[in-house]
Parts: sequence; structure tokens; C-alpha cells
Amino acid sequence: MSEPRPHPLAPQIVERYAVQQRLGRVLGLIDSKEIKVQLRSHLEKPIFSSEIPARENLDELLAGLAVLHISGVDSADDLEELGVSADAVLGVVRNQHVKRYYEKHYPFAGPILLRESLEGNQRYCAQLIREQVHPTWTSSVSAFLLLDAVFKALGPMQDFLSLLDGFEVKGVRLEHLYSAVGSKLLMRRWLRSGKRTQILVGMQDFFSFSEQLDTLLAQSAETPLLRGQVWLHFGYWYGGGGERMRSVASRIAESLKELVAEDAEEAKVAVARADLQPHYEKLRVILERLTGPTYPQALFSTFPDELGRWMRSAQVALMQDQRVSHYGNTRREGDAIEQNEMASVSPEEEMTAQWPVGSNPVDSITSGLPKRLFSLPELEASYQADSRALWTFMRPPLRPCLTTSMLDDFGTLQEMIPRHFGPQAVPLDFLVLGSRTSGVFSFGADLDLSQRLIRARDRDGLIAYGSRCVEILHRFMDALDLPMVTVGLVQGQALGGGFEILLSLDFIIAERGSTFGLPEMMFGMIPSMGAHAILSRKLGTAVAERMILSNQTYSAEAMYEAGIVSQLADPGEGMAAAAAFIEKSARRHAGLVAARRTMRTAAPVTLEELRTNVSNWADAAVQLSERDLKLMTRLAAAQARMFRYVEDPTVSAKSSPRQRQPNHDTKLEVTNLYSFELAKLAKLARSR
Amino acid sequence: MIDRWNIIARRRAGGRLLHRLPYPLAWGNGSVAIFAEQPANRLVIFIHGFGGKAVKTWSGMHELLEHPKASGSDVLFYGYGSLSAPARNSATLFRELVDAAATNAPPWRHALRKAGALGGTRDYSDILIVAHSLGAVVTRRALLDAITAQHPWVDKVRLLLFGPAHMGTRLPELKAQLRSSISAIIADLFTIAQIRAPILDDLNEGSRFLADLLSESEQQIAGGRGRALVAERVIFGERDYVVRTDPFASDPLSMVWANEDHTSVCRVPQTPSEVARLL
Repeated sequence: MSEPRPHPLAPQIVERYAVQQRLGRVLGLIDSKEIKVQLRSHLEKPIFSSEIPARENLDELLAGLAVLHISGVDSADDLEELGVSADAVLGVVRNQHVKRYYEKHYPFAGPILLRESLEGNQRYCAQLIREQVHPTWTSSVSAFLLLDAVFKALGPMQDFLSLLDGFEVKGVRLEHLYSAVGSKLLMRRWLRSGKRTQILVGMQDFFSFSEQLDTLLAQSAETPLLRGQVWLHFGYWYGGGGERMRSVASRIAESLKELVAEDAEEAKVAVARADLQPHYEKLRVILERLTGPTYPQALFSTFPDELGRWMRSAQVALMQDQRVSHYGNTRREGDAIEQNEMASVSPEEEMTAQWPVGSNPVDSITSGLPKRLFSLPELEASYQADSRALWTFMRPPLRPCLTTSMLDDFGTLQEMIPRHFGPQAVPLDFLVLGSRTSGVFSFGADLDLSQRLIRARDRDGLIAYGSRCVEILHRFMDALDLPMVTVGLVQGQALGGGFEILLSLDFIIAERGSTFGLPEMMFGMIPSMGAHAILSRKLGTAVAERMILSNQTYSAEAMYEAGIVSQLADPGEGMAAAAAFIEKSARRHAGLVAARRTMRTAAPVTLEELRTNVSNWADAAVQLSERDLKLMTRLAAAQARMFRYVEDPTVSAKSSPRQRQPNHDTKLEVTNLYSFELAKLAKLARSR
Repeated sequence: MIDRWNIIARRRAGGRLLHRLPYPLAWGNGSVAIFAEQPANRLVIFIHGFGGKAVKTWSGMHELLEHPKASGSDVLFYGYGSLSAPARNSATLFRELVDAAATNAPPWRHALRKAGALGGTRDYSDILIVAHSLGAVVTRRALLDAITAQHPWVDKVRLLLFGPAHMGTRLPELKAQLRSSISAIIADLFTIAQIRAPILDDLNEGSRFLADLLSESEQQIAGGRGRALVAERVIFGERDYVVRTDPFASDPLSMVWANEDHTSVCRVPQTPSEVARLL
């Protein structure tokens, strides 16, 4: 067996990424004591353009270190041999602010692996060495280096990725693309506009790139850790972005099916649609593999905790739809992981490396639950067996509101939970509902849909939509007829129907800085989903009325004082607070359930009452004036602007994906902008 | 693919590196250059066809980079909008790239510097363009324009063509091929929009674009200025149903590889050997 050595191109990687120079600059930043400010979360504070170069320098350094690690640099000796100070690298990757940056905000997790390797994580290092002497290791790394260059050379693809990431690019948002692929007329306009065609080319490039990546990963089965490292390098785009990408692909396929059917009808010929579109089926399978657990399996089994924070920030939900404890020994049926991944793991290692169940509040898994529950497009769910808690998070692809697709997922969730959980099935004591949209729990009703229905004076449509909402809300009020406690976790704004959904839950835990409000009165509407019914029972009719009519937003503290919020948590600590609440409440669970049932009996809110509320809401809605509708439109537009891509002039379209990452960091604190917009509109409404 | 994919790193310890780390180029879309460690003034450019991709089309080409005859060659995989742009526009952009490389223009020197490939001389005396399908059409158009513009590097160019589409394509077969390729989903969007992709008009048998290409080529060859337009070798797959396989202008008689189709000719084991024979 030959001595494992880094890939011969490692010195050029050091040179290409200017590792030494960048290292010096980052160490200078650390020494300046300004690092905390410079690397602050873009989600909490705005990032100024003058600060971007320092962050880009760090991005490029971390990218270089990650590529070096993939290329077999995994020890202090390797680094020293390349002329890079191992102490300096450790100083950077161990720095608490840098750690927070790459674990939580930096879309790539490579530095986590390098840190573990340099710190001598024995299990990881032993497996790395086994892989590095495998005959295919060098060629796999070479193929990765070529693919990485291809990724960076695909300029239009970077635009498409920004679009997937929720940003506005060249005046286009993802929802525009969705509309365009469903309409001949719009697609015609797109293809006549150079800028928009570029976005379509970028989409095409990403599909093709995905195919190439899939081929590379599929052929790297004999080096499962390397395969995981390579997947992780591009993995961010197969997390939240990947979900959206699948959605784009399926919409194109659906549109084409319609078109083919139309044409066939016109030509009066029978066309086998599936035969015409084998490439969409191929693409679907590829995307499923890339967004599934197959490729990063070995890596995530090795580092469930270390990668957990990154997975959440990158919206990677890979581990939720599997029942695997370690290296796939209890892998689910149909899982494509090859058995040879296990070949080099001894039975002893097998025994000692069990998945640390419960070590992370949301990433734990269990058996016996249907895959579908854990793969809903807009509702992320994960079950924590030891605390008998189901954690659910809304993860809308676009605006965080109650769109019909979100309602579909709520409906599916509410239908599946009673079927699979309960005293005679998988135990469930707690259900947590939170949001993956940074800074927002939910903006409530879908204003886009509402205004369209109102403009069409479609009262029946409004009632149908409102009824679906209150049915979901009412099921939550009944805790889905299960002996469980429901908990709302608020880490941002909860407005309108979003606030009302929270009111249907037993307990609300809110991070300080979260806000609550019912803005409907601003444009002459009333809350549609039970705010009147629930608030008047909780607070009394006078206070409830004041809250509904005031147009004000309320802080988490004010809501806590009013008794609506049950517990406050510091910013960023909401998850931990919810986990602690569950732990603390486990022993008195039966009492809590009984208390909540008694309360519901004492102050019942019937579905009938909620439906009447919806009917009143629809009546008010169809009478809205054009001016009110304009206000509603502005509010909807303000919501949409939350996802606007703030173009960074310092980053060119040809930049490397690493350089593009400041997309996140250049995103202004949009939630604050939205609050500002809301306050402005409220003032405008009051002045009328 | 992986087993054979040893572009640069064949020898893991102490071996001589033949080529540098792949470098993403700013020309075209998805273009990548792999510069030689010891340049021998030779540039090999791969250009894909309709619906192809810069690197993916030539996925077996790593073996060429290991070939002793390729050790001093800079290798460039060029990508362009084969589905969304008219062939003439693609040709102009391609010509700009070849011009920059052949004249060692500042953007090219910048790329060399960024790729760490400034060592040695890079005054290319031999430029081999390996083109597939539409890539052959784009290349010939670019060369014709370069002759008209009197670019001095034209005479250094040689052509190796796989499944060239210069005599036109059979559209139903071309569309059928596209329907099986993820790389051609954008073609479906043209279908949704009921817009005929301009490239389809260009590639249609007997199109004005192809007729001009042929007549101008013949004119230049007859006038003694079109040496570069005559391919050194033309290869078709036996089962190439997509393009017309008639000879173009003064091209030599084509070779036919048994059991291959329109795209497989670019990535079978003998493809790199065929390229190496011309180095």
C-alpha cells in the first residue's frame, strides 16, 4: 500500500487561491478585534459595501482550504510541506467568529471537515487514509478539479443560482420564471430578451452541470468520504436551492406536457407524452439523487453534529427522509448506496459509531414513518424520538405566506400525523411549528391571490381560500385529536394569518425582536382566520378589538406581557428554548394536555364560527375600493421585495461561486425594510 | 469515466506534471483551459456541437492529456450558446477567442497569469481545432471571417472534424436526439414559445447560411487562401443519422467508425488517439 499523499496539484491550489496572502489578511482581521463586527450575520445587521472585500477574502481563503482538503491535504505536515503555516490555518478555522461564519452563513462546509481533520478526528482520518490510497482516488480528485473549473466558468449559471437563492436578477424573480414556463406568450417575450434568455441558458447549464456532477459522484462510490466532500462543495445548491430547482424542472415538464397535448389535439393524433420527454424523467432522477442522502451519506454519518448547523443554514434536509443509523446498515428500501461503502468499516467501528440520537434537536430520525411526511416541499418535518417531538418548519420557496401550495402541505401534514402517530403508533407528545424563512414566521394570507380574487369579485373563491385556512387552523386548535402539546416557535415577524395560526397553538415561544400584528384593517379588511374568536377569548373583547383595529405591530415582549406569548428567548436561541421547553415539559405532559383540553372546553371555538368569520371577511373584501386594493398591492410588493437581490458591483458575473456567496451578505436586512414599509402604509391608511 | 480520468495527476508522488490546474476562461460559456507545464507552442481547441457542452462532449479526452505527444500542448475546451444563438454570432465570438490566444492579446496574457502559466513561450505555431457537428460549422465560419480580416494566424490552423454539420442536418433526427438530452431542455422552451430557434434555420439542409459557407469556402480555397478551411480529417459515426455526410468543398474523404452514432464519436477510446495522431 503506497503512502497517502496530497494530489500533485495541491501546490497550484495554494497558488490559485492565494492561500498564504489571504491567510495573512484574515489573521490581521482577527488581530484587529474587529472580526466580530466584520463577520456579523447579514441576517441581523446590514453589511456595508466597504466591508465586502474582507469577507470575500475570507470566502476565498475558506474555499481554497476546502479544495485543498478535498485534494488530500489533511494534516499539519501536508500544510507545512506546501509552505502554509498549519498554526495559522488552525488559528483561522478555530476562531469562534470565523467558525460561526462558515458553519452558519458561509454556504460551503468544507472548512468544517478540514478543521476536524487537522484536529485529528481519528475515525475521519483513518477513513480518509484508506480512501487516499485507493486506486481511483487521484483520478476522482482530478475530475473534481476539472468540474470545479467548469462550475466557475459557467457565467449565466451564476445568475440562475442567484434566482434560486431567492434574489432578483436582471429584474427577474423565480416566480417570473415559473410564470414564463407556463405561458407561450411570456416565454416568447423571454426568448426575445437577451438578458432573460441568459437566465434560461443558466438554468440549462445548471441542469447539465447537475448531470455531470451526478456522473462523477455515482462513480466515486469506492471513496465515500471523498464523494461526500465533493457533494458538500456544491451541496448548498442542492439544499434549499435544489428543492427550487426540482420545482422549476417539473414545471417546465408539466408545461411541455400541456403543449404536447394541445398540439396533439389540434393535429388529432395520439402522442405518448412520456415518450417525448425521456430527458425530464432522467433529470428528475438525477435531481432526486443530488438532493437526497445518497452521496453525502458517509460524511453526515461521521459528522452529524458538526455539519448540523451548516445543514440548517443551507436548508439541507437530507437526513430527514431516511432511517439510517450509521453508514446505511439499516438503510431504507431502494436506497442506492453501494454496499462497498461499508467494506472498510470494521464490525467494531460499526458498533461504536452509532448515530447520536437526540444530540441535535431537529436532525434526529426514526423508523416506521412514511417518507412523504419528511419530504413535503414547503413544510420541513423531522421527528425526535427521545423527546417524542415532531419539529416542523415552513420553508416556502418564495414569499413566506399561506399560499395554496403551503396549505396543501399543511393539509397533508395534518392528515398524516394522526395516521402515523399516537398512543397506538409512534409516540408524539409535542408538535413544534416554526419557519425556515430568516426573520419571518409568516406574513399570513397570500395577498397576491387575495387581490386577484378581490379584483375578480370572486367571493366564492375567497371563501374557498379562507375556509381552507381556518380548517387547518381549527385542526391545530384540536391538536389533531391527539394527546399532544403544540408549540409555535417565532423567530421573526408573525403577521395577519401567520399570527392567527400561532394563536391556534397551545404555547408560543418567541425570540426577542419578533413582532406580531394584524395589518388587515390597514386596507379595510378584517382578519380572516379566527383572530376575533381566539383573541377575544384570551384577552377579552375590548382588548382584542383594540389590537385588531389598531394597525399596530407588537413586540414579543408586549405579547408576553399580554399573555399571548408563553416564553421569551434571546435572538438566535429560539430553537434551544423550544427544545428546553419540551425537555422541561416532558414529565408534566399529561397535565399540560389535560389543561389545554379543559381550556378548549371552557372557551370553545367552533369551525362554524370560524367559517362565519371567513364569510364576513369575504363580504368585506369584495367591497374594497381601488385605493384599498392599491395598498394591498403595495404590501404584496413589499413582501416580494424581501427577496430582492441587492446587486454587488464588486462581484462580476464571471466570479467564482465563492465570490458570489456575498449575495447572502449583501442582502440588506430586508425584514426591517418590510417593517418600515408596513409602518409607512399604516400611516398612510390612518391618514385617510 | 473516472478510472480513465487522469488528466494531470497520474503520478501521485514525485511524478512530472504535464499540465496545470484547469482554469475557467472568460470566453464563451463554461470554457476551461488546461495549460501545459512545458509549452511547445501548440494549442488544441475542442469545440462542441448542437446542444453540447464544453467539457462534457469530450468526456474521454483525459487520455489525450496523458499522451506524450500532447505533453506540451495547451488544451482548451470552448463552450458557447449552441441552442440560443445564431451560428454566425457564435462564430464571431469563437474567432475572438482564437485571435486572442494566437496573438497573445492582453486578455489572454491575463488568463495565463491568473492560471499561473506564464512560464515558457506561448507563440502558437500550430493551432489544432477539434470540432463536432455544429462546432465544425462555427469554426469554418470563424475561419472564413478571419481570412477576410487577414488574421495572420489563420495559416497555423488545422481542423479535425467529428460529425460535421456543414452539409446540413436532418431536422427530425436532430430533434429526436435533443429529446433524449438534458443538455437541450432550452430547445423545449423555444418549442413552448413557438419560436423556431435560429440555429435550426442555419443548420437546415440547403440553408442560406450553409450555402454561403460552402461557396465562400470554395472560393477561398480556389484562390489559394483557404488552406486552413480544408480539414485534415473528417470522421463520422456509422449510425450518424443527424447530419448529411456528403463531403464539403475540398475536404478529404471521410472516415467512418463502425457502430458509433453522431455524438458517441467524440468520446470513444479511439477519439483521443485520433487527436494525438495530428499532434
